[in-house]
Amino acid sequence: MTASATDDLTLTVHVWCQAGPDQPGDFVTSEVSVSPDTSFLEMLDCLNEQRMAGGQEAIAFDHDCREGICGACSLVIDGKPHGPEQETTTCQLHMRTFNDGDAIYVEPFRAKGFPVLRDLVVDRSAFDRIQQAGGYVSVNTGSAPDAHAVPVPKPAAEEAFDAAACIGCGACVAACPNASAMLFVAAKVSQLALLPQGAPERDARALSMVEAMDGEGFGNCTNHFECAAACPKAIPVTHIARLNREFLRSSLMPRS
Amino acid sequence: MPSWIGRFLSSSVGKKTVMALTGLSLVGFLVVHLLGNFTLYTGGIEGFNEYAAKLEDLGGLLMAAEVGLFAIFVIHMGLALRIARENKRARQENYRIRATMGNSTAASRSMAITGMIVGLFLIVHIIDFRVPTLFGEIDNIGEAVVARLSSPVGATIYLIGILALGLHLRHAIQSAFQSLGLENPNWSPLLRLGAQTLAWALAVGFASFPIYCLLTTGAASAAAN
Repeated sequence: MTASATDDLTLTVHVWCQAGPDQPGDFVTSEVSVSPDTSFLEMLDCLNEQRMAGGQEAIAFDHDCREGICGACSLVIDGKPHGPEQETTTCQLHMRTFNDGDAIYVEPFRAKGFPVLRDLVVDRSAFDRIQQAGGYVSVNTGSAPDAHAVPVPKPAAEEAFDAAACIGCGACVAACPNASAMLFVAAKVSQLALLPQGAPERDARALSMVEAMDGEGFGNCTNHFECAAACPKAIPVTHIARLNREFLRSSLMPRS
Repeated sequence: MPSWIGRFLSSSVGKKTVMALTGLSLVGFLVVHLLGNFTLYTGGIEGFNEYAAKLEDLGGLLMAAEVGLFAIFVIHMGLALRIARENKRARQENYRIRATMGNSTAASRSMAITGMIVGLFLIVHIIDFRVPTLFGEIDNIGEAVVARLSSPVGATIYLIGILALGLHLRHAIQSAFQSLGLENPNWSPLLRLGAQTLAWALAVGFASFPIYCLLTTGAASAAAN
């Protein structure tokens, strides 16, 4: 029998459980029945209700907005960050993507720069520290500037906006065979490199952010481009090429 | 040494820049090497020997080029080992379920392995021809090359080395352009096509020699019978 839209799916879910950082972990297997219309996180909610009703502890996982824009949700589902759907965060992944009777494996993002805190929750504060190293512009506060006082060519605005779509979820790191954070850093550097507002701090930005990235223990980019395929915002690797250019420019031809 | 150089060389992007520049230099050498080898087709063993003699006549210049090449190779390999080690360390616990997202290739995932095979092959290749010519143990380099490449064992070793080289280059050349930031909507497709074509041309070009030697000596021995 094939499941119609109203029939519940019965799934065997293998979820990674780990008591704390540097603790050994393993898959915990449960059966769960959910509507195909539930999201992946709601499926985990159902699973947790089931566990708590049985006197077990809930499985910890990250979530916040549940509408695909905050970057809080993570998970590697059947080997893919944010699961099998393209350009989709885990919270926007719906169980209708799966078939009745499927076995699903859920693991945390795995990278030295993203240590597991518990179960499926990893510490992604490394991204915050990289941002703090230069992913900003310094502006004087005060009244809002006049519209069009700073001319920005339309293509540059579009491309900067594409880079700015990065929600900092870390799927790029999770998907990279080298656990490199290049796509994240590239999106942040690229966004500001394309805009006049980013110009004053342009030289320091690429250098400082790459240095911070390296310091967090992420790997070196070797151009597999798995990051772009995993990115829920479909940020292309052309931004990595721009980061490379920005880094070279700042190293070899600094203006000061 | 200015402080920026140390900072540059120890950063992940700087290391990739050096990998790309040294790699492209080695590709440049391969192109010259292949063009030189073609004298075997255009002028036979004699033509090949004449080319080899001209190279030897360069004397100190040849020595300088070889030392330079060796240095570039050592830098490329040393950095590759360092990058591979760091990348392994960046994910200490592997995924239990592994799936590719579809953008990586067998070539991109096996760079360290194909690189190591090419490195080992290079040692064999140098011991085969460069070391004996350096010590004057080979009089006729053209004949020595044909003899080595027409033996089944020799041809197999060379074909394995060249296959690894081809796989390595398939990812390497276009990867080098990306690492150097050479990306632009107008000419990126052309660069990618050029990189792929060059990788294929080098692999097929080099592979043609053991195949040619196997076939022609096979034909020669058949004719002798």
